[in-house]
Amino acid sequence: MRILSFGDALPVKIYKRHSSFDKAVNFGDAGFCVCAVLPKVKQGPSTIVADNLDLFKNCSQIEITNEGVIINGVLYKKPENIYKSEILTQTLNLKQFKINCKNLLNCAKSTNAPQSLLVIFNKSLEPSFCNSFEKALLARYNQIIKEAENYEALLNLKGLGPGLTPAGDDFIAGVLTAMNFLEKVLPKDFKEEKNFLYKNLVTKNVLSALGLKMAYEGRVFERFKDLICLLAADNTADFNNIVNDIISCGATSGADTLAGFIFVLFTEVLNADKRHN
Amino acid sequence: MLIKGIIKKGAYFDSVSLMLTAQKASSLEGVRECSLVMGTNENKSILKTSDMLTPEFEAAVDSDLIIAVKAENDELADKALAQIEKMLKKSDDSPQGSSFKPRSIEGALKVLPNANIAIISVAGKYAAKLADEALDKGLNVMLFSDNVSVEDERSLKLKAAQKDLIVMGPDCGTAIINGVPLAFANNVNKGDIGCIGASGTGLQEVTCLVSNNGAGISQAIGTGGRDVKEAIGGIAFLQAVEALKQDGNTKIILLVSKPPHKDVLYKILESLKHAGKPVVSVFLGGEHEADYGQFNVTNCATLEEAALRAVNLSKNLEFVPLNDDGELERIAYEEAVKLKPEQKYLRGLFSGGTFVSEAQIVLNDIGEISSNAPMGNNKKTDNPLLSEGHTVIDFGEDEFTVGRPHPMIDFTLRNKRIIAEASDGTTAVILLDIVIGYGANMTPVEDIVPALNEAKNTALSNDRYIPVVACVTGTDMDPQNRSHVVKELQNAGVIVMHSNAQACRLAGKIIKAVK
Repeated sequence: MRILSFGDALPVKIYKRHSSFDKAVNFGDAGFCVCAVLPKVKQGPSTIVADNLDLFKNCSQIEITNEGVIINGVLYKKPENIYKSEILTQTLNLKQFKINCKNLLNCAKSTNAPQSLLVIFNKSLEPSFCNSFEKALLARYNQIIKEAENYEALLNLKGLGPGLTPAGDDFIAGVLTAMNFLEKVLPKDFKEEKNFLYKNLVTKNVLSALGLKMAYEGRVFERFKDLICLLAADNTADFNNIVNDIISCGATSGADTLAGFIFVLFTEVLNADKRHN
Repeated sequence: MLIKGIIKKGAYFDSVSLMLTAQKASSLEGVRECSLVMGTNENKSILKTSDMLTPEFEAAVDSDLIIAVKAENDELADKALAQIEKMLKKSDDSPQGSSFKPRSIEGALKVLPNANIAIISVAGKYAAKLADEALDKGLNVMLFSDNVSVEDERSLKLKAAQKDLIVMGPDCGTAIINGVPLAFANNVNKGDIGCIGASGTGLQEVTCLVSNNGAGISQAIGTGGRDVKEAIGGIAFLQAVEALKQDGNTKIILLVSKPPHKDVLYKILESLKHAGKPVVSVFLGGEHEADYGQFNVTNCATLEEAALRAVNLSKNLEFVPLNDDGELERIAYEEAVKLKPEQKYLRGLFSGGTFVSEAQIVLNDIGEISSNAPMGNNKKTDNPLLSEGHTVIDFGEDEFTVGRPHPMIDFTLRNKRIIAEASDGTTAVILLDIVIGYGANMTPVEDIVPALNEAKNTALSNDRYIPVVACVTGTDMDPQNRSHVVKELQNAGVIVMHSNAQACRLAGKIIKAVK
């Protein structure tokens, strides 16, 4: 087995096996989770990318050290280049940035991500909420978004929706990521809003908790890093590929996180006086 | 109706497994609805709003999975829950390999040193490099992946040609090489008809029609849809022509494609001029005028005609055009009299892109057609999720497939659309394709019949009748067994035709009879 990538936010300690899927094996301790993944899942702050997961699937715990990861007594060293997950401060061409944000929003408005929170931008997704649970869920999404007079009100999305990590949790992770991004590139300060959302979003779901913690700390997974680079670039970007890549994560997780991210961009950059459409 | 469920404590299933399990469970016998959600307070509140909450679920916490089923009775609910647990267990079983699983082409060749084809199905940005590596190792390549650049495709195909190898693809989903079906392909009779296709579903249709009409296939070589465009110049197509010319088992050559660039078309025809074997072609929607006779090629208008001509050549019989007009007129009339005057429009819902093209060609006289993959003067639909007038939809297009299995595997979106079309008072006929074989949905009947029944009941509750016309592409030797699928569809009231072209002709006649 080769370790291809190592996240930069992995506390040194022992982690016990939490869950195992085809492309990912998770190890947890005290509310934090280390994810061993295949390259297709891509890099992240709390992620070890390996060329195969057999060893991870066949062990009950791993130990993260300063040198790498110990599995069944054997040390697998970190590669030289660690994945850097922090959003960097940068100067923007503001006019170009607004164009790129608009293009991203337009891309989201035409993206097919059934039963996801992208429905708040793309009404044609509404028919994908079919059974009575889904229809009630859609009504609740719409109600929360419509009535949210400030970001704190988005806390009502916590724990809501389908998926191993509920859709609402992913949305809020997207909101936190966007807030941290905008703080690095614009004269914005979301400290109060971020603290309120994060501190009140207590969940026993370890995977949700991990995503929220990373987002709160301004650490991004590879796909969102790529997205941020495109947004901040000094040229007009095409967002189709990256959006498709993001929404291919999970059943709706990627799409829900993207929805939260775009929600903040829309509010703060494109339409400071109004909310969504 | 009653609600029943279980809580799986600390159970972690990935979201896609949860979604797919919930979808499959919703079509179990007696199940009206199924939800698999984490036990957060908020989700419990939604379950309560949708009358799916039971007192037992109150005890669930964030990290628990709630499985809630609304079913006709206790027994069916218990049965459904047991099935759901089985499905989840199946998705949870990680492959515990004690046998070596190679992680590279080099590793794979150590296990199979005599392999001569590599099938590559990875994300597009990695595919070209892997294909290049396979060529370096002397392997032919079937490139299932898409999102490979034109430049990479051209470079790979030129390299392959120099090495006397072939690259089938990118986006090549179907091939049959020396009788072995690869990727999305069917179990067909072996015989003397060699096919070349820049169209996966097109190859599946012609190979199955050939087999179902008593002839057989020597080879079916896919080239990928872009091969016959100007940028690639037909490199793989021309290599395949040479291969079939030389193949001793091939006596008849059958070409299937969307229209090639005119220069490419002429190159292909020129290469066939002295093939020494009869050649039949179908270039769907081709607008280029070419004197096919000069090149000893018989060009056909539909996949069905091309397949039947090839069959007759194989059997040394004179080609007699299919004379089904009378029978189709009769069926069309019988169906049309059951419709209300406001039922005017055709709704074609397809999983195969080539069938969408063929449908628009066959149905060119019913009026303007909207499509998300329009041909000729047809209109591009404003919203592929909503029909307007006569509508033909390709559910294999990106807007339906990103992050989802292909519609030949997962019928969910199309099933929902079938039901939606039944609610539309202007729908006169629903037209479908069902493609079976390797790679396709293994339980097509179980997956589509409940949706067809619900559509029928929806129409009936509004005092309407909507005929459903379908074709089933496949053979009895396929795992799903074509005859079984046809029989079950007929039992569900579907009018099943022997080819896509025939199904389209019937649907068109119903529309005209209503007028």
